[in-house]
Amino acid sequence: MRIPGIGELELAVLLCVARNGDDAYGAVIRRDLSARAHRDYAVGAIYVTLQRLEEKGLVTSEMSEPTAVRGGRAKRVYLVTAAGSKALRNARELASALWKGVPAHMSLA
Amino acid sequence: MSELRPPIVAEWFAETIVSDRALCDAALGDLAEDFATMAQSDSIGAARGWYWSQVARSVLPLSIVSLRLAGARGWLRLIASVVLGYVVLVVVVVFSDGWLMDLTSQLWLTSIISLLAGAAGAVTAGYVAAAVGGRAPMLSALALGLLCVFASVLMLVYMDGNDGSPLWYRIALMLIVLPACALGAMLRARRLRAAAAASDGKTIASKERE
Repeated sequence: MRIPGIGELELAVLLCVARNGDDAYGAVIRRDLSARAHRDYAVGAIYVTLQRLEEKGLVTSEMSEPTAVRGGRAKRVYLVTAAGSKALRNARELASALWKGVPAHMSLA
Repeated sequence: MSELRPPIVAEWFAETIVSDRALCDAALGDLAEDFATMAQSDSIGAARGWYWSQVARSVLPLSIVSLRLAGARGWLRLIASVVLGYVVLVVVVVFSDGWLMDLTSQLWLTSIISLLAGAAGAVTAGYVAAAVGGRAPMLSALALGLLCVFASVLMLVYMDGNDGSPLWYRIALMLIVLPACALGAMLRARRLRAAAAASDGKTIASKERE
């Protein structure tokens, strides 16, 4: 199985989807990413990234039932596919390989 | 509890960004959820400001999501919507100006009526652009509005006031054209939603009868 390459924001969003399991939908992903990146992401930026991930076959999505707290609107819940899991492993292996040999004072906060 | 609702105009504007109901529901539901949390933890004013900022920053990305779903046809409709909307606006302005010249010779009165006719023309053109634009109605209307502002700036710079209209009139026209186009798109979205709600009501009623 050939895994498509992913960009930095795509990787960050894919990690948020993986971390939040069955509860990974737009608002949760946006809050999670914004808190970790210390930046208020626009909901539109999250959806355009999720669409790219879905086109690459790294996530799937389905609509849930509408809820009152959301003004009677439904959620689109995302799940990481097998290809998405593989892409995450590849990204981690690549990052580990690239960090090898970097002096400790540069790699530790 | 009613004060925890997002700002009505911002929500109405956001509903016009994409015509895809599932995408619109998902994005606006996310915003409504975070708005309620922020209104409780911070203040209603901060939450309203945040909501407006999210809506403004999401126009382009959400429109792109919607247009990508439509493929090349979606982009072609976007271009056609701007061209057609511009033609509608030019026709309205040319006709109203011709009519105004017969009506009065007072420049200030002519300018004010012409400004109102221009605003009405921009609302109509925004409505047409949104209707033709299909998948991304607000982007179509805003692109048309920006084209009009650009054309006005060019006229202001290169015609150097030789068209006979006062400077305040030309600046006012530039300021109102973008919101007027957006209003046209919002009116179109409201009409579609009302029609969809009526259709849903009929379907439910017929199912209940069965």
